[in-house]
Amino acid sequence: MPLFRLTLTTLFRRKAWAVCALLVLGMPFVLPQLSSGTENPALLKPALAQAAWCMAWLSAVFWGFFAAARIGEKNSRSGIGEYFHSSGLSATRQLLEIWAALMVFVAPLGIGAATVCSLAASPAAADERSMWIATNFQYGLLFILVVAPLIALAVAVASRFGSLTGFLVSAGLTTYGLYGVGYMKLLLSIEGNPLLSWLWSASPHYHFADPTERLRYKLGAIEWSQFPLLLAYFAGIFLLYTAISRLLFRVKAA
Amino acid sequence: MNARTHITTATLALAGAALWFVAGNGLRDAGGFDYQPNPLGIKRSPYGEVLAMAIQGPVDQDFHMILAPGDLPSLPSEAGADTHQADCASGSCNHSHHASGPIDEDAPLIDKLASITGRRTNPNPPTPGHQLYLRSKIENRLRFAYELDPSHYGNYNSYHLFLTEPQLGTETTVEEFFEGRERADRLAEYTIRYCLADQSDPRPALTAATAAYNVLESMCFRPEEHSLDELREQLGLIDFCLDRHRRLLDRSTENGTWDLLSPLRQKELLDRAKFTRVLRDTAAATLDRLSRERSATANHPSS
Repeated sequence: MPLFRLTLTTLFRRKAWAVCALLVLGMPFVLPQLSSGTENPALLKPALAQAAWCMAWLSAVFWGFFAAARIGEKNSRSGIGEYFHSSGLSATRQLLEIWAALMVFVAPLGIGAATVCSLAASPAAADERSMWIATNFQYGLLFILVVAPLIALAVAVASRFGSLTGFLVSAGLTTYGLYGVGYMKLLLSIEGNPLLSWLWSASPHYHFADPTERLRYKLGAIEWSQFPLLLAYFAGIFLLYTAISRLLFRVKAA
Repeated sequence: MNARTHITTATLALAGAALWFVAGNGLRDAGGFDYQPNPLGIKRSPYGEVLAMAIQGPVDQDFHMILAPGDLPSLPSEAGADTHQADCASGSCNHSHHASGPIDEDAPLIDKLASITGRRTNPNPPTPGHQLYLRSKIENRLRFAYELDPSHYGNYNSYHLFLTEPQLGTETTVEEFFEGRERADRLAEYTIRYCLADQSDPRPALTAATAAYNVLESMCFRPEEHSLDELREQLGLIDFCLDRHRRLLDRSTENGTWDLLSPLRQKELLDRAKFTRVLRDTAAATLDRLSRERSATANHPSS
């Protein structure tokens, strides 16, 4: 796994991961001091939970996708990809190794947010606490399932079209899936356009993986009988994006 | 790419698309696709509450920008707003954005620059069309502030006033005016439900009380459509909200959360509570009068 180790070391030495770790593990304890939780202590824990997950998502989008795009571009333009290819490492293997190294840094963002929420923002009632931990575990899993294929996509698109395009495609898809589809639905309720309606249905509905509302209102964990359906939905997107990423990825610049 | 890679990639793509389609249909049938977008969950969050307070200032400034002195109505959004607006209305204020005198040369640099860049030099007032456009912008901002924190007294009342007051709002026809009132009633009903869900802060219950008063006022607007019992039930809701406010206020004094509020916020809360109780007493007096009028009509139908 030479490319995996190289990417892992490169990311580690760049040290930007430390900023993200601080954002996810430290800022949830600072930001509530800027919220109305200072006037109403009952809001401190919800503010902490919201800050933890927002930091995880923002870090994944602004750092995770950016780092992925930069590495994808560098691999194809600096000759590293070509070198490894000539030494017998196939393009598929290269994409997998780069992707795995990136996930070593990005997956802990979701796990960190879930851990901070579970340890520092759990409700006092015992039954609510177990539901709270289960909810955070579910959303930690969904976070990884959503972000992982987008990381691969950022690497692949950047290897072919450059790092800016790679970053924008993944960041744009995430923003659109989290919020854009909701605004499109509002538009659809005014304009009953069948093409827009189809596009809306076929869009990646990433808002299912956003836990902020569910945690704030303490709605409890997603029903375990329904959870596999959500996993299947995001697994489908995962597989499709992985295939697209493989098609787009290249080891050397044209 | 060799043939094996092509086959693997195509299989992945097909399996992924099929899984996405099947699971997506299941989720859509369960109604999961319908949701209100809320970027970073900021609306109705503890952060949204702070942001909502911060944008009250720009709303106040927008009002000054579009309304000439004398046109300014009373907005219950800000502490000290009444005296502020009274000064503006009489034209005796010295706000930089509509002062006509010379710029204060001794003012700090930033204040001076704000005065220079914010000053209206156009002697012509906004045209009716332009004013309507600016009002729609204010309405958007008020709605945004309300969405950030529906339980905030100022956010709710400013937005409600905008929807119901023809002088302020964007309704230009009678139909639009009644439509605005219906929207205001729905807004009040939602606000009551939202505020009464809060069991710790005494302030939302006060907002719920004013929302309940607004519903009662709207019912009195068309008294023939409502029985006295319905009106009294609404008055009972105001009493319930005020009672909830009193209990939560007592509890916050006992557990010390009252001391977490700044003296300005404490005074604001007490002033608003006093004002809301006056509104409640006025509503009770109106119902008594209506009751007497209806009994008199029932006793003497011919007169």
